[in-house]
Amino acid sequence: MMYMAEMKLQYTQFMVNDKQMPEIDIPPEVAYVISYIQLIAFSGMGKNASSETRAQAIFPIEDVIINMKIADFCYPLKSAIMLFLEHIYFDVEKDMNEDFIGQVWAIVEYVADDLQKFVEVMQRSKRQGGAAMARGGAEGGTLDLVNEMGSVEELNKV
Amino acid sequence: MDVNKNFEFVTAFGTFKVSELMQQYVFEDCFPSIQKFLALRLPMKEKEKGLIRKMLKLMFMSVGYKSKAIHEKRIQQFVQEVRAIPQLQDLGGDVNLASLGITTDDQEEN
Repeated sequence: MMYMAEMKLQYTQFMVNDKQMPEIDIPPEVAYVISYIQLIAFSGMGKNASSETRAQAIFPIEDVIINMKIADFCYPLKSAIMLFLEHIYFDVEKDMNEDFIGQVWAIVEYVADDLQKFVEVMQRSKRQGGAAMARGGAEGGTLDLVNEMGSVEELNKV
Repeated sequence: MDVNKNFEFVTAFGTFKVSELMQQYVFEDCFPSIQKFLALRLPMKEKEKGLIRKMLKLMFMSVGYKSKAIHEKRIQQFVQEVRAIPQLQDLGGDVNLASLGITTDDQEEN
């Protein structure tokens, strides 16, 4: 959490200085954690009960949820956590217990929030006249579908 | 923290725009993870069904912002999995790839 606060502080300083493209350093400690989570995730690839159980003991679902909340805008960390969830908790050999089923919906809520944020950012950048964010992404037919589906604001009203 | 500002992350491997990292997170990590999660076919209450309905809609909305071949591949796999789960058909999972503007491997061969 301390490192995330440090990264936010960097961002605030850039905003105060009014620079065009702020840069945020990922502290080496966070980079280490990201690589560590990825490494454990890869150990549980496929149906591999023994590795999955050990990995679940190292990084329990409660900690995964807390880290998902802390990660906030640090997408490399979030990516590592999602990779971990995929290989260690979702694509598993053993059946999951009741505790896991009760807690997993919190993760789904975080993912839904992130997706909402992503769509909002992309819609805004599209409206602002094709910033680099949407380059190559919003093509013909698919854009029509997005327009048909409406905006995120409309989705929230539902 | 306003993620809408397109700032850059500096890592040991170089500098990346946050928007690129967001795309990578959504298409290369969220799509496969949620695919595996939905394949668990967990029992759902009404509130959870609402959450899944919202999430599927957001996922299909985000399809328009794909930018790489790997994103398209992940979306294809996701849609195929979702269509195979009867539980999701009433929750917005009855989408076909053509309506998302995605060609299947078979169509590409033809």
